Amino acid sequence: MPSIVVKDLKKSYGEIRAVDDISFEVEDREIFGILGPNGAGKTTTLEMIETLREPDSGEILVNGMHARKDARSIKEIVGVQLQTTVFFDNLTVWETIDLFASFYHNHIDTDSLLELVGLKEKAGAMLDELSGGQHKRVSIALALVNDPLIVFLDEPTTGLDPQARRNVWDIVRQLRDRKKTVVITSHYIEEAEYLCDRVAVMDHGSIIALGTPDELINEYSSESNISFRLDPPLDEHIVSQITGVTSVRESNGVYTVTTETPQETLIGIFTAAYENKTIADDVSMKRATLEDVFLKITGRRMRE
Amino acid sequence: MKQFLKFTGASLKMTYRERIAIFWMFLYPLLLMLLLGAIFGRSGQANINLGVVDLDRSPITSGVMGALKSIKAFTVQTGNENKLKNDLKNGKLNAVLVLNNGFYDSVKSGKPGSATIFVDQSSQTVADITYSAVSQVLNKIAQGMAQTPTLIEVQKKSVTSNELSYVDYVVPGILAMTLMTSGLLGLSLEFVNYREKGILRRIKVSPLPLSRFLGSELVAALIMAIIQAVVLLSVGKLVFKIHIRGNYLYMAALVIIGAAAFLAAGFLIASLTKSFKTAQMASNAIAFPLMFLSGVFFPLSILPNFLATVAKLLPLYYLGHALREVMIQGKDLWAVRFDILVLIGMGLICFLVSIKLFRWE
Repeated sequence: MPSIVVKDLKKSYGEIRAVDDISFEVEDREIFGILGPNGAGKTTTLEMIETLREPDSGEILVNGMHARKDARSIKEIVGVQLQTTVFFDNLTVWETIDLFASFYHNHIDTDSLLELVGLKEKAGAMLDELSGGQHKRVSIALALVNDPLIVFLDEPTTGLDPQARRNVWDIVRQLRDRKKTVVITSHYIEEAEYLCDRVAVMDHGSIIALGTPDELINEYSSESNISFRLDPPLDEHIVSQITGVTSVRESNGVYTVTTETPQETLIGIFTAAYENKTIADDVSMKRATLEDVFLKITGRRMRE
Repeated sequence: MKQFLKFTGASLKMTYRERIAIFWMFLYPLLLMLLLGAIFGRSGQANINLGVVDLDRSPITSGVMGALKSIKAFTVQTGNENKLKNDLKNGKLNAVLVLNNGFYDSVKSGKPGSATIFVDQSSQTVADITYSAVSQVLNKIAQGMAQTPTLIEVQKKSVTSNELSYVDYVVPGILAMTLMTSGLLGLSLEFVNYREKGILRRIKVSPLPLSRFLGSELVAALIMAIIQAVVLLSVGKLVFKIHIRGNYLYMAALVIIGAAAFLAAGFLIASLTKSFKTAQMASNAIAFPLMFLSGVFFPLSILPNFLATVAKLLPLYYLGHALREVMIQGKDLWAVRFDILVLIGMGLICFLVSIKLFRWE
């Protein structure tokens, strides 16, 4: 049985169709990403599944339970990290987690939870003494207090520095080891690629692509970019004849070619250099990313 | 139940750690009490309108009249006894002092002169204060005129002889005010803050029902109210030796009813306003006039007539009145049933409307 089933889900705010007829399923124990720019409808989608918002129409099943009818039971088995992460000012980290744990029938030990999110030494600190990254980790800890089957993380790394983001990623990976189903929203491409088993790409309230990161890249943007320097330079026409090359750009002796068969093209580049008595140097290859997928489908970059 | 206690405990802990809240809940009313107590003292008074009738028309009685007029706390009116008594009935005067016939003769023969004070039965606390003030002043005058303290013997008419002072009047008033400000400016503003910060939404995604969340916060607030009352009354008793004659259970019941009524009013304001800032301004805009117009610091009789009428339209007046009657006069709850009815009515209406308007975000 899939963990989450979403069918024909719609939600409008006035004229704006925040979520415009989307359907998808989240498998048990997978890490599912919802990727898209700000305002794509990611958070609204998440909040409807979390029973925080009423959909205008459509059906949501969480672990087989209807979001509308069984909200209370759903809340017992899901853990939610909201985008805004402000809590009671005058409670310590430990007290905050302990308090939220009391809201659930089933809850895990506060100390081991603090250990999981790496905040053991901050147990006695007041919430307002924490850094942004530590704050996020508290909110992730709160999403785990009831040892949930399904964890929702809404942009868990937004606004964090690279180190703090890495910490959060480590926690998410540990959730995979603990056999949780995780639904995570993000507008960071690399985050989705790094963490997620499958990704739904959202834009303007619709899902425009869905699959594993590899599938999406292969389907929409299978090309790789290879750049290299030739000294002395060669005519662009000769470079464009290299096996597999579909396009060439040149500036100051640095060539960037696109190819769908990177291995053949790499061999071709060195062969051509050898045959034309020039030296190929500074060779680098970049595979397409989900960013290229987004660019390909929408004609826009995900983040300006 | 465990859930309930946990949240109540956490809520109390948070209040205790919030220094500003502690200041407003405890230090501010205490300071106010100490200040008012120090200014007006145990026997000191706000302005008292006193009618004086001199039936004896002797040198001593006119001396007494002159002395009374020279005391700032008294506004003395002289004249015909019947006219002055009428003014007393109409609330224009707080008391009428009659210096009886034969006053001079008695004093000359070494006995105390006889005087009678008439007070308005319907506002007993004011009557008591006035009586106690006038007799103390008369004794002082007597001491000044002839080194004997028993120059004048005052007979009080139409009131029981509780010796009450201004502090006795003002402490229940300050308690009422404190319960009101805690209700209007405490929990409800915290709630707006929770809503604004998204804490309410975070709670909404947990299985904790709204009723239990509200309920435990409410219980915490009521516990704080009881603690406030205990602290305030203890200090009043220790420092000013106020007379508490009331039954403690009745007093606790009134404190809880009053606190709950104003908490409900606070929630209504919280539900009607959009942001923390506007909620705070609205609450202050309501709390401050209530504080000064409801007769918690001074008896209504010293306010201009129309303000006294306004006071009786304000809920705080009823809480102050009920607390005073029960605490100081030792009355039971039945005697203040009308006040209780007003408070419960207001609380219930506010509560029902705010439940209807409640928003998570």
